Amino acid sequence: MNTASLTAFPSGSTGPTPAATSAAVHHGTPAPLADPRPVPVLSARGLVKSYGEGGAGTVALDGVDLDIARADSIAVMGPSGCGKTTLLHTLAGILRPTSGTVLHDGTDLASLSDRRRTRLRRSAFGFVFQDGQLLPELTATENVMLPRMLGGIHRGAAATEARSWLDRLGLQGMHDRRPGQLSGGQAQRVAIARALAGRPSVVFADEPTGALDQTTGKAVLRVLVQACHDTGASLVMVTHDASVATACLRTVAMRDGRIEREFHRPTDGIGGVR
Amino acid sequence: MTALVSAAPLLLRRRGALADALPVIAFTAATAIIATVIGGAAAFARRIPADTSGPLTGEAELMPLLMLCAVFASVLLVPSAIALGGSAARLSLARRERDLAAMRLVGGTTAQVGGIAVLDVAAQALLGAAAGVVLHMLVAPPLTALDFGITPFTVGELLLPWWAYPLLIAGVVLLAAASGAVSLAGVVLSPLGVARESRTVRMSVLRLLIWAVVIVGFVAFMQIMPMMDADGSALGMLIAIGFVALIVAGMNVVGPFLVWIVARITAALAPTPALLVGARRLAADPRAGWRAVSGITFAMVIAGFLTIIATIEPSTPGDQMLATALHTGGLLTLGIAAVLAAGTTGVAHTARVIDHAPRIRAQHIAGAEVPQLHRARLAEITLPVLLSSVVATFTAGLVLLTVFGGGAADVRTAGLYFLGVIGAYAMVIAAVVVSAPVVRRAALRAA
Repeated sequence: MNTASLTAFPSGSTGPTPAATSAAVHHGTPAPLADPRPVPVLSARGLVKSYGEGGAGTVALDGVDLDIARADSIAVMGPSGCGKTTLLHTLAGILRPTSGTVLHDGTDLASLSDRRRTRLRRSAFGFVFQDGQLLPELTATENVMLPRMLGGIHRGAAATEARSWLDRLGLQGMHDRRPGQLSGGQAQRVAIARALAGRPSVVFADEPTGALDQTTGKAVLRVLVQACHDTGASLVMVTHDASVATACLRTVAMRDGRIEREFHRPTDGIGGVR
Repeated sequence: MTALVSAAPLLLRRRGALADALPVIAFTAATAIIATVIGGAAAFARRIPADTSGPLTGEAELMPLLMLCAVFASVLLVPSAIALGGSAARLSLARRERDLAAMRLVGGTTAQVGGIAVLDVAAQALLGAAAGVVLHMLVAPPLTALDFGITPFTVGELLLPWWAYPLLIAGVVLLAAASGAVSLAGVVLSPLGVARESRTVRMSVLRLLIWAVVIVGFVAFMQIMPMMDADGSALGMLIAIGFVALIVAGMNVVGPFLVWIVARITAALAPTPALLVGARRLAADPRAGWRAVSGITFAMVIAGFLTIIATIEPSTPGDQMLATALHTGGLLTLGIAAVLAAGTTGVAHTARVIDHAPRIRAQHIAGAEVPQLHRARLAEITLPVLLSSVVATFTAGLVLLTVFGGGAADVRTAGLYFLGVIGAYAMVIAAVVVSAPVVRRAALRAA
């Protein structure tokens, strides 16, 4: 992106709209042309990931290119073993690619040590797992504030933030309940609050509604997509369920470690979950 | 069943060197300690003269009392060693859970799979118990160098009769199989995995009140006792000993309550994430938290009694002999209790790490660094250790001050005792580090 567009669209915005770009072009001044594509917060190029030794290994990712813009939402779909979860883990810096790069705000994740990647995940990414993976001994508030405390935030401030997030996601009055005292949908909302409390730039969700019934799953998905939209976080979601994928602006269909097709749906702000 | 038994070796795979070796090591330690402690008590018993009708002199005079002390130490240590065997069985089972689920998936019934799991635990126990007997025979010669103030024991005296060893091995194997079966009763073996029953723990303040009532009763009784006449003093002594036994035994009643309440308060105020997680885990299962230190708390109190009693200035050669025996016996009891407590803690923590591996992995993915995961586990053991030291010091101090009025004091012996205590606690805390590679592997495991 050039200087003019940086001035027009400060950090944290979703980037220039086609109308804004068009206005710059027709102004009559020799302003350089703005790139109409938003700056990706996460950019993968030529990702290859193989498991096992030498040539006998299984290739889970086979040359994947993917850009994820701010406030973008992407559903990754495909049959079992096609590389969905490997892609998610590689984008999140959990796995190192065999070759290729994943750039987050210009930094190649593979160049970082394990400790720095862990810190990056804590500060810039949020995670929602299929079964929540909340700590059963901790209360809802403590589960949400734990990653913030791990990041060095004072307990009091982390608790205030956590309670505010729980309220925002409809969990008023449940702050002191433990995961075992919550329904599956409520527990997953706590997991969403935990993922978003650190104001991440990208939220990774691996089958976030896979363990819920359809009605609860839909409600949880709505909360997840809305919350990511409200905070400007991008959402990368692995799912088997086509109806879940419609909640996202883009759907990436994978097969044999490659992106086979990509679908875009017209944006209505928060995806198609109603 | 036959087909499943044939397939079992294929399905029961290795789960990492530490997880496979630790139960065997724990069974080895438990067997060696049981054999050595019982062998020691038997050695004292063999020194009691056959004919006790006439007056006894020298060593022979002391032997009945020393044998009583040795039996007392055995009663203290053998259950702890058995508990270590139980923890080893639990760990042995934990590392197999994925395999057990796979066996259910290929058609094994719960009973068949449970049977194979128990057989697997028993096989590890057999290996460990046999190694334990060898270890017991290897440590017997160095133990003859211990100074009990009496004629040193020979290796032959410290060893058990030959027929006792097969019985001991069979006992350990049966114990392990029974522990494994009891552990299986608390889990649901399904083809999709192993689910554990969980419940919310609440502790009643009655535990503390009962202990406090016994303490007040003891202190009050000790004020009345000097006023008893000669006939009543023997009964008074028995009642006083009964009170002391109740206070010491009551530590196991009040201990979990103290762990629960202190853990809850700590969790509510914890400034660091490690302390928060460690305290919450303890509050969720205070009995397990206390179990890790209960043996060492008992040993500290008993060793404290013995070493302090040993500091009373001996007036006769017999007293000198008794003081040396009690001093050595006290420290030896503390040392063995420390090994047992450290072993139990290491095994129990490793089993829990294996149980919680997916959660550890998720925490690491979400940004918890491996050292932060370790610190939470250290916090989980440090709180019970601190509480154990407070409870043990309070109990020993209360009894000794009430009985002796604070008269006995020997800086060297007391210093040696406290060094022993610090060393014992350090061993327990260090035992948590044993599970560090398992935590690391769980955190960094490939998806």
